[in-house]
Amino acid sequence: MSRPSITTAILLALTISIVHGPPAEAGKYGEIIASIKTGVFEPYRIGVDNFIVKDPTIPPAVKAVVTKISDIVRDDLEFTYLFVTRAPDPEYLKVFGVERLGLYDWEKLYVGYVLTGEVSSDENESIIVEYTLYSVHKRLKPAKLFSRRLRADQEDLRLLAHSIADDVYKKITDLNGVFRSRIAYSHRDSIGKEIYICDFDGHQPLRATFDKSIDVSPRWASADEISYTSYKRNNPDLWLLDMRKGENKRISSFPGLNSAAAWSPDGSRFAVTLTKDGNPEIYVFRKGAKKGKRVTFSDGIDSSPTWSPDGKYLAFTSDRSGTPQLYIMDVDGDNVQRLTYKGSHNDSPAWSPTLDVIAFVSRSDNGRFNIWTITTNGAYLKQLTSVGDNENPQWSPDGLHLVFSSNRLGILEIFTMDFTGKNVRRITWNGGNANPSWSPN
Amino acid sequence: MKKYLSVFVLMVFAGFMVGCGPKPGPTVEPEISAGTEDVANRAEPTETEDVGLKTEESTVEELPAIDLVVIHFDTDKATIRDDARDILKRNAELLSEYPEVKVIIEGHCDERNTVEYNLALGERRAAAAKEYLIRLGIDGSRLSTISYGEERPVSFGHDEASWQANRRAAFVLTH
Repeated sequence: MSRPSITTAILLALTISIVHGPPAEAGKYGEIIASIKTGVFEPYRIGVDNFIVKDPTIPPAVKAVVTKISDIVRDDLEFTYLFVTRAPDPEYLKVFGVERLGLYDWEKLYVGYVLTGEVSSDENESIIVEYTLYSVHKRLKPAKLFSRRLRADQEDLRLLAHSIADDVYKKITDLNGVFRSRIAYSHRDSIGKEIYICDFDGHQPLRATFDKSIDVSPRWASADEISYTSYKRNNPDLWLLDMRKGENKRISSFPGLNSAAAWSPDGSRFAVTLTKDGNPEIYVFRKGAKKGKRVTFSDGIDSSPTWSPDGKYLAFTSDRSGTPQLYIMDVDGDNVQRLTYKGSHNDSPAWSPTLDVIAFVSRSDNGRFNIWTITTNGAYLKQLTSVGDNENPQWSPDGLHLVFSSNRLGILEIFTMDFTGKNVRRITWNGGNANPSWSPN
Repeated sequence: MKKYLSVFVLMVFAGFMVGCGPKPGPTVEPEISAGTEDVANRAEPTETEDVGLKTEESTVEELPAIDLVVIHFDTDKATIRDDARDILKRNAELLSEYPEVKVIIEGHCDERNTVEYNLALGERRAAAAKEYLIRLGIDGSRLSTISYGEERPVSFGHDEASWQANRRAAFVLTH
């Protein structure tokens, strides 16, 4: 698979990151970006062998899911677009005249890495995988890079596979993968809306709230906590759901709106839109504090704050100019600068966690809403979507992907794409899904 | 308002689900480890229960049958249009006749725009209607506002006719 058009977009982001300081993840990340900048990006090529059963006494239930593990690992790595994966196609086996590809066979398939795995079980019928990553090279002897054993209950099969993919991804790229991250979103039912959480690939959706009310705008405060706005006490209050402790707390309940919350990258503060002073304005609170600081002062709407990766700036939407546009200011409210001028409706900013780029929604001349990115110096604009209405972009923790909602299929669903607008994947299937938010890891 | 609130409080923790928390994976080790690591680190789910007790529903006084008419807004705007001025004037006259009645002004939006922006816009629309009624002599303490953004449409189409119907401020009588 080739992905040539990515190059230009990454180049753009890269140029920006160089002009405006290094990305949050330096080192190997910088190397990858640099290789993209200097020429055509060469994705990592990896052969992922079908994992095999070592133990003849393995329970049938475990044996039945063995091939799923290598399938999920391949799917995860392909998702990143940094990888091209190969499976041991029956065709290859025929050509090489073998039952299982050896490392020298893999090398002939132009891969640089090979992942193999052996599956066994224990008295609890859990799944145990021992997997090994090799490097293979035309002129060098294959080398074992590392080997590990992981165990999981059968119900955690996907988590097990995602862990293996994360492990391999980290080893090869030195970047943190997103394969164990999750996405929260709101789902409309016959009563109102409830918050749901699924894996980053849309699998294993779970209902998180049972409020029989309107619950919107879930945002991850940490890997265990989601804030959301709920009408369950007759006012749009801000609630914090702690999934580890099993607690659900009301954290902001001023009369009027307590909405569009956004958490600082370190999780210590949140910005929120309140109307307690009569007009939608943005306030910043320390987590747990009763009193916050008002940071916007205009007669119009100020809403939808998003934090810069270093926690020093906020981007937000304001209609102070007469139409909704994006602005950037210091987190204490000083130095407000308008960022967008193109179009009569720009909203829903989401600041990349790794680059000086903001994703946002703009209404096109045809009245449709589309997702764009803009550099924080305002210099580069790029349209990422063009089918249907597309809203609420939110970044993956590695800044390489976006999650968003779209009605492009006639019903409202959640999709992911890479930050160039390619590699679009639908991750929800039952309609009425919106307001996605990607967990921090 | 109060009695409704107390009923809603009951529902807060009911049915809250645990056990969907993140399951941290293992730490990376360079070489094969002697033991086998557990992928999932499950916490035992805590029991959840209904924190409230059922309260008696007190008798509700009947509200007078006043027909307060909905007003509509332009796209992205919270300014009171000419057609809305006449409606608000009549609404104000009715409210003057029934000084014991209070009103919740609901601000609504069409489905376009983001949930967050529409919540803010709905609040602005409700506030604009409230302000206008106060200017017409209605005591502000009788008027409260709530924004539902795009969450409570009255028309479910995806065209301008439906959108216009949904860009509105509605008036709900209360005690």
